[in-house]
Amino acid sequence: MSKNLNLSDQQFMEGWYQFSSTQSGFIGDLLRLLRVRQKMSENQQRKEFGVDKSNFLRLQGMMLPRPHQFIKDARRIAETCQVSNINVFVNALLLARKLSQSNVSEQDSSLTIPKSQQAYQAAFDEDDSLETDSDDHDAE
Amino acid sequence: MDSESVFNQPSHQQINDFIKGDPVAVDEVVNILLPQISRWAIKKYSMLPVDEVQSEVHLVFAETCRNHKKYDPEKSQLTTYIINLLKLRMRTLYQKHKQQEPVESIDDYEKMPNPMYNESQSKAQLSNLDRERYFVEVEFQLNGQEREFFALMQQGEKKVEIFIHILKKYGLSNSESDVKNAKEKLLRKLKKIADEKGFSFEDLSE
Repeated sequence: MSKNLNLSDQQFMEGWYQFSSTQSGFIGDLLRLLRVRQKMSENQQRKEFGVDKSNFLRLQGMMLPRPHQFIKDARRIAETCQVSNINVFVNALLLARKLSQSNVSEQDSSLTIPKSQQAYQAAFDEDDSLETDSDDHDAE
Repeated sequence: MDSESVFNQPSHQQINDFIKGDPVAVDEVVNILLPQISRWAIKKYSMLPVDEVQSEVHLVFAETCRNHKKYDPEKSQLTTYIINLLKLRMRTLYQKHKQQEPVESIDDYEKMPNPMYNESQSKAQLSNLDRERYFVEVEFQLNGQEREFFALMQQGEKKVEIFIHILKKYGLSNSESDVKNAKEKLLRKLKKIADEKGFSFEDLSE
């Protein structure tokens, strides 16, 4: 117990960022979705943004930009976390937001059978139901 | 009653921006408050596992950040707001651990290392347990206004205006003498709860 009381503010905040980066409503959650789609590691993404490990953890632990001023907030977050490639980060966040929104719409349509599946149904029809015309096969 | 140090508070501007959901302001506010509240919670709930206490602190902060619009600075300081949320969670956590305590039997007692030989250590341990049980009981028995007064007094809050504001919120009269009367009434109630539970209020106050 005394060990935890002696933790520095920085150590408490590291614990917080590790937790908050996994929560919905925080940037880490969205960046994780993007990494999965782009098949990118966390380290690769961090280097793309041009940010050190400590600031990347902080970046992921911060709340998402507000919808009505998304780009402005994203830029301020990037500056606060000393991101070198701010535009790359902002674009990544915009893309991640789009992916997140399309994920939601895909889930909504999951109950309907896609047309592609309906079209293939004919391949499984009984042979008896198929029309056969032996004259078609005769060569004239 | 534990006398807690007063927390360092965010600025008015930081609070206003926090309520608006400004992510940079939210981060600044968390940076100011989380370490302080974490240390306070770990110390106050010393009988519970530290990582579980810390986890509850994180959950409360996440909830507060996500619901930033809900916080009203007119009603209380942000530290009071967060601590009240935390206490509700800690009550549940405490009850969970209480249910998991092994039933005391003569066999369990006899297996305890050096039972009753180290009296000072036993007394300290018993006091911590009593203290926590007492505070849980207090949470149950106090009404809303009394709970808010209790939380502020634990933090060492001195500003009369804040107490007056609480009285006003609950539709009570709001003079300085009423604040003094309300505090004295609360202290009498706290002593009565301690007596009912067979605790020494003076020992609990240390």
